[in-house]
Order: sequence, then C-alpha cells, then structure tokens
Amino acid sequence: MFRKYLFFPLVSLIFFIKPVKVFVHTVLADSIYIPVLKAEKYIEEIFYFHREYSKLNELLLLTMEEIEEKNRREIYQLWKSGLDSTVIVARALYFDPFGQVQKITLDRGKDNGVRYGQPVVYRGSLVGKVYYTTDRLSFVMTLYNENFRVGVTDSRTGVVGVLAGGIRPEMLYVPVWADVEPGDTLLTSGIGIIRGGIPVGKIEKVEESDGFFHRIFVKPFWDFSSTGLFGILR
Amino acid sequence: MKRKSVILLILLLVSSAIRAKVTFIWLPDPVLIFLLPLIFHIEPRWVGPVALAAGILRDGLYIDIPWISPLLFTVAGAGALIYRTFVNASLLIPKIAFFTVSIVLYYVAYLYANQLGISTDYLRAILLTIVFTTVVELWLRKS
Repeated sequence: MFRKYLFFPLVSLIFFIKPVKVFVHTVLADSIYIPVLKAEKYIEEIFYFHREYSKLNELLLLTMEEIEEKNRREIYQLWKSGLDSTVIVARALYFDPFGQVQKITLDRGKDNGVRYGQPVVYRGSLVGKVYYTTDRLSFVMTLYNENFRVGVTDSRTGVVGVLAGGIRPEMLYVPVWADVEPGDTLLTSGIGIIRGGIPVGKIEKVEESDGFFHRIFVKPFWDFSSTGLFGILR
Repeated sequence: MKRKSVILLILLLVSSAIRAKVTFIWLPDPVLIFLLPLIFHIEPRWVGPVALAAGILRDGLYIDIPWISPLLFTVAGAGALIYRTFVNASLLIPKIAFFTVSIVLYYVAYLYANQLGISTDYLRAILLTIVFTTVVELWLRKS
C-alpha cells in the first residue's frame, strides 16, 4: 500500500527542501535547460541574421537603383550638353545588321551640325564615319563595313596605311620592310577627311607575303556587342 | 500500444522541459495532456517515476517558484493506480471525470501556490486541457 501509492508523493516532498531543490536545479540546468536555452538563442540569432540579411539586401538594391538613376541622369546631361561642344553626343537608333553592325543610324542630323565624313567614336575609339545625313538623323558606316576606308598609322613606328573595313578589317598598303608587329596600336593618320589621332585598334596578325605588301589583320577597339552613347566629332 | 506509450512518454518529457521555458496561459497544458492518459496505459511500477520526472522537469527551471508539480503529478499517479485497482479501465466516462477533477485540482493548486487569480484565460486553458486529454486518451484506445 505504502510503496504502491504513497512512496513517490512522499519522495516529491523532499523537493520543497531548499538544498535538494538547488542541487536538482543545478543538475537539470547543466544537463537540459542550458543546452535548450542555447539552442533557443541560436535559433533566435538565425532569425535575427535572416532579418538583417533581408534588410541589407533591400538597402543594396536601393543603392544600386540610385546609382543607375544617377548614371541615367549623367548620360542625359552629357547627351544634352553634347549639342554645344565639339563632340555631338548621339544615341543609336538602329543597327544594321544587328549581328555584325555595318551601319548605324544616330539621332543627330544636319540640324545639330552633323556633316558628311565626320568620324564617330565610342568611348574614345573609332566606330566609323558619317556617310549620309538628314535634318534629324545621321547614318554611320562602321569599321565592319566592306566599303569603309580610313588612313591609319602605327603609333609605335609611324608606318602609315589604309584600314579597309570588313568582317575582319585589314591594314593595306604596308610594304614588307615596314616595322609592324602584332600588338601595335593604330591611330587615324589624319590623311583624308578624318582627323588624326583617334584610336582605331590593334594589329592582330601580320602575315608574311611574297609580294610587295604585308597582309595585316586589325582588331578594332570598338566592339559592336556593346552600345551606349556615340560621339560625332565636328 | 507499447509504441504509442513510448511516443507519449517522449512527448511528455520534451513538453515538460519546453513548458518550463515557454508558457502561454490561454493554451492547454501539454504536460497534463500527455501525462494523464499515459499513467493509465503504462505498467503500474513506472507511474510514480514518470510522474515525478515530468513534475521535476515541469518546475525545475525556476528555483524561486514553489515546485508543486512533482507532488501533484505523483498524487495524480497514485490516484490513477487506485482507479486502476477499483474501477474498470475500459470505461470512458469515469476516466474523463478523473481527468477533469485532476486538471481542475492541479490548476487550483498551481494558481494558489503562485498566488495568481483565476481568469478567463485559465478557464479556457482548463477546458482545452480536458478536451485534448480526452482526445489523446481516445487515440491511445484506438489500436
């Protein structure tokens, strides 16, 4: 009777004695509660960091949007101010063909001072030249057009030649004894209607020839895969 | 049946440890919900230790409050053993009456020991505890 019904209720009474309670509490705290509390803290921290991460992400997106907005504003200012400077800043309206651009239509024309033969640059390097203008538009023949020609010079040795456009532009009329090497930078020579000193590209390959001239392949600096604002030099 | 008892025992011990830390007074007490049906379905010799362990875990986190759960749980366990000796365990209504009395007594003793007043939150908790205890009992019977 005692053992069956009363033993454990009587045992439980000893937990009202302070030292026993403290001892049991210490054992329980060390073995169960502190690990549980630590786990709880970790979970809270995970949620906290998750919240912080989300906030930072939002902040980052906001900052990026602000930067983009600033860039857009600057580009617009540049485009606007381009009307009065020696460089006419223009936007591309049309690429023809889209894959390897041979002609570009720009949104500046005779009304803005664009004339036939003016060179067009993109980030400081030659894109092509204006071959036709209307009042509001201008049409540019690029380095990748087969009809494009411009006088170029090797910036290292001063060797001059003619850059012939095409899918793979070439530098023509360079005699076999001239000092040209792959990696040399080509600038416009100023011979002809395009002014000198505009970077055009780099010599990619020089093929030996039995004839009078080298066969020189050029890699233009302008890459038709990138676009943005073009400059038309007055 | 044995598997269900083991599940219930684990739930009881875990919920006792959690209940020591997390307390929502308007929610039913999971310790009572798992303990009361369990002491009718395990071997009589385990009733006392299980009730004692659950009671210690239930109150053991805070040293300042009176530890009444070990006493009350073991008394409830003793009551269950007496019930099992003299009343047919397959009868549901007397068992629910036993649960109700135990839960009400537990809450009264708990509120009295902690010097708390009765409120609608506690009444709702008592009612929900009785309901959920009955549900667990029915789950244990279904085998």
